[in-house]
Amino acid sequence: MAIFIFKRVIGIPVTLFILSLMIFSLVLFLSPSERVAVFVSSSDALQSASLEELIERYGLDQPFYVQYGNWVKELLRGNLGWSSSARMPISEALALRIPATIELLFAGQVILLFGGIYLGTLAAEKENRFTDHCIRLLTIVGGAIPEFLVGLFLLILFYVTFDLLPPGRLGMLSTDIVNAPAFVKYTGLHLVDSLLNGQPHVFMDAFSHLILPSMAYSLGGLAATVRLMRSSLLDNLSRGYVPTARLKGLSNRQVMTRHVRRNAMLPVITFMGMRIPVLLSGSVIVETIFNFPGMGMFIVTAAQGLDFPAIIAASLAVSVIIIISNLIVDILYTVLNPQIRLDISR
Amino acid sequence: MEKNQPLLTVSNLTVSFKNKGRNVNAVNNLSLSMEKGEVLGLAGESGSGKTVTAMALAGLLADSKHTSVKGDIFFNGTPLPTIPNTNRFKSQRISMIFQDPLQSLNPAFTVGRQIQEVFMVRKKMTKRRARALSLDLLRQVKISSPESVAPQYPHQLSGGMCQRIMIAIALAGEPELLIADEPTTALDVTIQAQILQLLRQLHHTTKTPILLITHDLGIIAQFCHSLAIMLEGNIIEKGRVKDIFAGPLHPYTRGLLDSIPILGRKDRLKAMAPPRHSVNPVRGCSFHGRCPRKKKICEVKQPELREQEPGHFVRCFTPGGLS
Amino acid sequence: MKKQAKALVQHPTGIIGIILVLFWVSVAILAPMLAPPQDPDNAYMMVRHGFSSLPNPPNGQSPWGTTSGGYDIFYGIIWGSRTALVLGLVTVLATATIGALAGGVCAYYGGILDGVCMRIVDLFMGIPFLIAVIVMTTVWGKGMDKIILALIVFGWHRYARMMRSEVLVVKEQEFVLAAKNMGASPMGIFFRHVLPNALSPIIILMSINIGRMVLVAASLSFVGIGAEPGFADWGQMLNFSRNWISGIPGAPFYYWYTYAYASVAIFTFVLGWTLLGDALGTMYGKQEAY
Ligand SMILES: Nc1ncnc2c1ncn2[C@@H]1O[C@H](COP(=O)(O)OP(=O)(O)OP(=O)(O)O)[C@@H](O)[C@H]1O
Ligand code: SF4
Ligand SMILES: [Mg+2]
Repeated sequence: MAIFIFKRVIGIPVTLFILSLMIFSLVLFLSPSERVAVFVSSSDALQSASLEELIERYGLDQPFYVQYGNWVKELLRGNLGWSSSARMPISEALALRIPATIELLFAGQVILLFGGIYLGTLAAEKENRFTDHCIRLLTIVGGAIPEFLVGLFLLILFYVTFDLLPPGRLGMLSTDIVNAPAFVKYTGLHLVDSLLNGQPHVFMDAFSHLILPSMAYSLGGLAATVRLMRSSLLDNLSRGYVPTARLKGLSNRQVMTRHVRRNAMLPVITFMGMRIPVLLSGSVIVETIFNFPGMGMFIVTAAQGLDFPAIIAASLAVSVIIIISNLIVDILYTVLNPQIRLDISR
Repeated sequence: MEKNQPLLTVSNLTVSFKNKGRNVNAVNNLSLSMEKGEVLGLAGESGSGKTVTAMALAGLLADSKHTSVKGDIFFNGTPLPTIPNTNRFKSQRISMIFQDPLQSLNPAFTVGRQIQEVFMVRKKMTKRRARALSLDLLRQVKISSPESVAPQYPHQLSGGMCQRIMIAIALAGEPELLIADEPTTALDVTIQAQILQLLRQLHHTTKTPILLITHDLGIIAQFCHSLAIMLEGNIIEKGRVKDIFAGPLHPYTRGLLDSIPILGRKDRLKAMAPPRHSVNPVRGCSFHGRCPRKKKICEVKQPELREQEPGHFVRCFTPGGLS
Repeated sequence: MKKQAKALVQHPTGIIGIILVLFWVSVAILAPMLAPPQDPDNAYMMVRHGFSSLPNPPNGQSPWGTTSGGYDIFYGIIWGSRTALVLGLVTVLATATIGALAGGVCAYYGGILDGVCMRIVDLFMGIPFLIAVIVMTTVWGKGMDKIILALIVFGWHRYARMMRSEVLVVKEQEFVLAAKNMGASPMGIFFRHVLPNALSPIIILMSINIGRMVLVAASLSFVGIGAEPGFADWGQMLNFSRNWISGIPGAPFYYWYTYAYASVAIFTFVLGWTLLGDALGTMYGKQEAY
């Protein structure tokens, strides 16, 4: 297991290097004066020195690899540039935004996994009966409605009509608690920090603000996981280990939960890994609709304000989020599938 | 309990599958009995319904939308239900091992855990106690280092190993009948002999009756006390192995024995002529289309299973060729 | 061909798909008649009735009402269908051509080229499509052309993968080996043997992707970084409606017309192409196509 994780982690710097090269090459589309903003760490720095000085300092008239080197150097020092749209250093902005998107991504994956397992099992158990048909219809429709329509619909239904589940990431009360100096920000994730700080109300508040956006953007994927889970369950139910398990004396339910479901989950986990980029794209839309201040909204604001340094840093941040969440999904997969685990670590 | 009451009595077992409106009769009015302490061989061409019979006996086929199971099965004098009944397995004393041992084990769990599970489910044992017993069982199936095998996953073990694990799982249920459906077919020749040897030893020490399904007449010669031959969902001959081998009464059995040049060859029993598919129960003897001794009556009337010689049953109008 | 068309029509979802697609195609074609532009040189700019920042309910002048900014909703929906159709067709044709060529060439020659190609495809699979398009259009500047370009850059890899697997299958078949031995040119083999086999899955993917591409472009406009203000574009119309969704106190659906028409338009347009692709997929027995 440890060997597997080690081998998997080793490849990450290479991927990261290629991606950072690709992302930095975006600056080639920018003029040197636009490019300067990618390097400086505050708005004052832009004013205090002349453009020529800055171009000189960061080697912007030098070959590409020199510029890339300088950029990476600044990156490693924690300087991602100055965001004109957020009016703060990008590193600080990201520290606020990334946890929000991670919470959303996590919530979305939880819906994909548990919704897929639950509804998929239901559909498989009632194969070709009424419940199964209902679920199938739901998944066809759910898979065809775009995220922003689902989002708008949920917003109209739960907020406008019933005045439940408001947009945003936290209510006003909780925001004050979180921003108070006494509240220690261990991770930036409200769900985690609130518990560590002993603030269950903040936890509930953060949780309730996650419900609508995560539902809105995981619905399309949920349709797929339900279908996957259903067919995978039916496939596993016809495998040879099922009669063995039944002869042991397990009830049908126990055969399902202890033996079949665990094996049937594997394709769903694979799908969750493939879904990560789709969910992140979707976060752009749902964060905008629900006014949820995460990376998606950050990217939109940066794009509207032609805030190039923020766009470039955000691309990098999104890459890192994808790489790490892929790693987590891979680890989950190997925990569930001893076959892979042993083959790779051998 | 009477001493000489049979272990198992099956009467008029009929299993049919409904597929897209068509009815396939896999087992047709089959009757069979088995004595305590006996090893009964069950042979017959591919598709003759051996596996389906075994599954029905073990309770793995239950009356449902797609399957119909009719007939009476008495085990140790008590009737076994043919309706869906998941509670029966917990106390059931019929264990079964299958043709493909790797497929029969759950790939996600260690083999040790899969053996333990039987004790934990059936006897509500603690994990520690179940573990100790499962290690004992591994020793019993001749695994020399149980501690190192138990934490392995099925795909890390050889086919022979997996079959021994399956036998251990079967034994954990303390069976009064062990059904082995072609337990060696999927294995290497050398391993086949080992598994067979193991089954023989187990039978020798525990006297557990075994219903052994096989295509290999050599295995039957070495291992079984009696033999039943199946054809198109029914038993056409049954008796002590030495009686049948010495004087087969049914023309199909005769053909089978004649077609083995060497005992112990391992190809499947091929039909001597292509079998009819048993979609519709045919009129007359199910073998008449391929029978060299066919008479007029064979086409219109189905012969009954009759005791031609003491303990030697046959379903034919011209048993042994004498008329 | 006739038999296939019949099978498609017998497919219930296929029928709905065809009807929706035909409907929107005819609306797009008939747009100048359905909603005559005020300025024929600038037909894609929505007609404006004043500059009020408040939306206006349907009235004689604007049958479906106006958005904030006075844009005519009926006009926007009608001409928006052209925007969607053109954008969908152009991006899908371009991505399919590029992807099929790349995948076909890589698979045909194999070796290192194929390996590198597949690594690149894998990399693109991991990139969030919408975010990538936003980043590119930010760096390149505004405009429909830039959006289309970005959609093409990040949309070709699915076709490449599909074409590659089709070519790999066909490559091993006997008649192709024979044609190769007889000195047929790669181009000839491609057009005679590979393309006919690969065509059906690619067409299915194209159909589904028309909806998908339009959706991404609409998402861009919806978050306010797509088409220029006033351009007839459904996503943008929804963007205009965002401030009015909650209605007024006591009447939550007071401004229903600002989002209802555009939502239905996008949904039915995308659904039509998706269902059509789905039905084509079932028809050709390639449900896994997408
Ligand atoms: N679940 C099922 N649905 C429909 N038909 C079935 C099913 N299971 C078995 N059958 C049919 O029942 C008949 C008997 O099958 P069975 O597996 O018992 O044969 P067998 O004697 O075990 O053959 P083999 O020696 O090849 O294992 C076959 O014709 C088979 O096609
Ligand atoms: S009953 Fe007639 S057909 Fe059947 S096996 Fe005997 S002789 Fe042959
Ligand atoms: Mg069988």
